[in-house]
Amino acid sequence: MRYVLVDRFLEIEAGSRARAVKCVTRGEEFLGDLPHYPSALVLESLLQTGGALTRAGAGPRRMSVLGKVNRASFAGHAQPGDRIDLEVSVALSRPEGTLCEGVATVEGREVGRAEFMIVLLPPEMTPPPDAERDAYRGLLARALGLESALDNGHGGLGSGALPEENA
Amino acid sequence: MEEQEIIAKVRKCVATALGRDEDEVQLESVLSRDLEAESIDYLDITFQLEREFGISIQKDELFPQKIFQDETLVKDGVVTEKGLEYLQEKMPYVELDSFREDPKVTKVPELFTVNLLVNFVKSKVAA
Amino acid sequence: MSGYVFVDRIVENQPGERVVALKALAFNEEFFRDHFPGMPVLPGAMILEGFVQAARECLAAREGGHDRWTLDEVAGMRFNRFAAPGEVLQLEADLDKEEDGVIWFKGKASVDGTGVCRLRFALKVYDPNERAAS
Repeated sequence: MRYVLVDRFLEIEAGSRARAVKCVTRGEEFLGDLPHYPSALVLESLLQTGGALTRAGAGPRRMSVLGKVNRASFAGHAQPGDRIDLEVSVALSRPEGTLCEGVATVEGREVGRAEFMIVLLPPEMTPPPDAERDAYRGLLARALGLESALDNGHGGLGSGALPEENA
Repeated sequence: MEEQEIIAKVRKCVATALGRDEDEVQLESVLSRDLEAESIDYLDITFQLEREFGISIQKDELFPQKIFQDETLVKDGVVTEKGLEYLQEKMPYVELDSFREDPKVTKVPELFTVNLLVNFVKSKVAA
Repeated sequence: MSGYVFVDRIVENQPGERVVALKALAFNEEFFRDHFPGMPVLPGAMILEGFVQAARECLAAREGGHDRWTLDEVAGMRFNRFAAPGEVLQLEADLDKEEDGVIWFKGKASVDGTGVCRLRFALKVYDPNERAAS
């Protein structure tokens, strides 16, 4: 399974709050014959939304990692054919990272909520701009004979799903 | 806010951040040594205190990280005079006399006790 | 229940008490491509799913037990270091308490004895009609 668990951002106020969606489909490998979508992955969608929100508030190409899941709870499940609505807000923000609160719902019915911390990697660890990274990846792929497997150059979360990638 | 209320709330914040029962969190408890706090916990404690007391804590204001990063403040594992000044300035309510006797940078985390947090909150809330 | 299987092997199972499971991490696994490009590390939520699957085995092995358990809550999930391809993750879950059909575990994930992640989590019986309390 791939690991981009947010499909699209509907609204984003960088560093403040965001609404996004994740569609649940039999087309994804991890469902198999599970009667429900794993709650751990609902959590991941909230974490990825919070991460993107935090990075957007911090500056271009800043990197982040999950610091801690303070608490999470789940009720009911998402099923294939559902669209999970994700709403995450930054409760507190510091240079080091954010404390986020998120809720996942399906047609207004809550399926999960979480409070978690996103840690921002220091500015010194910000990678170089896209052109250089894409050129390097192209060079490496050619050297390894992997040109056909090279994706369209968008790393990280989504292709155009993130406001910073549209900018 | 009364001192007893501050103490109770600080202990609650630390217990929540470290996933411990409140009676494990005593005033004398050293965050790192007694409660096994790690770097992410210092960030969590900062958030919990901000939220509980409605205060704003600037970077390095509560836990002066620079002491571990700035080469002019520490030499060969020993905190320099400049480093001691930095610590005293950042934590004006902490008594540093016993630390001065053996100012190893590895012993700085022992200054971070629950009591330090209480004194910090008191100074912020009074301001 | 199956679907994405996170647990490769159960090395110890004391039904209703403790379970130890292994998950080997292979560079080939697709999720590593996205997490993160150029720096593959095991996502925390997948470690959580591993704990859920391992704990399910622990409960299923009980006398008259079943495997229809689903994740109810997570508390204090914290990370020490990343786990990466080429390593074998060990998941240890110890049953902590059982109350009103909700079972709490203490979990510890490690690689070669070095801690990767710790958490507490609770499982409840899977109910297809469950709705959140309003």
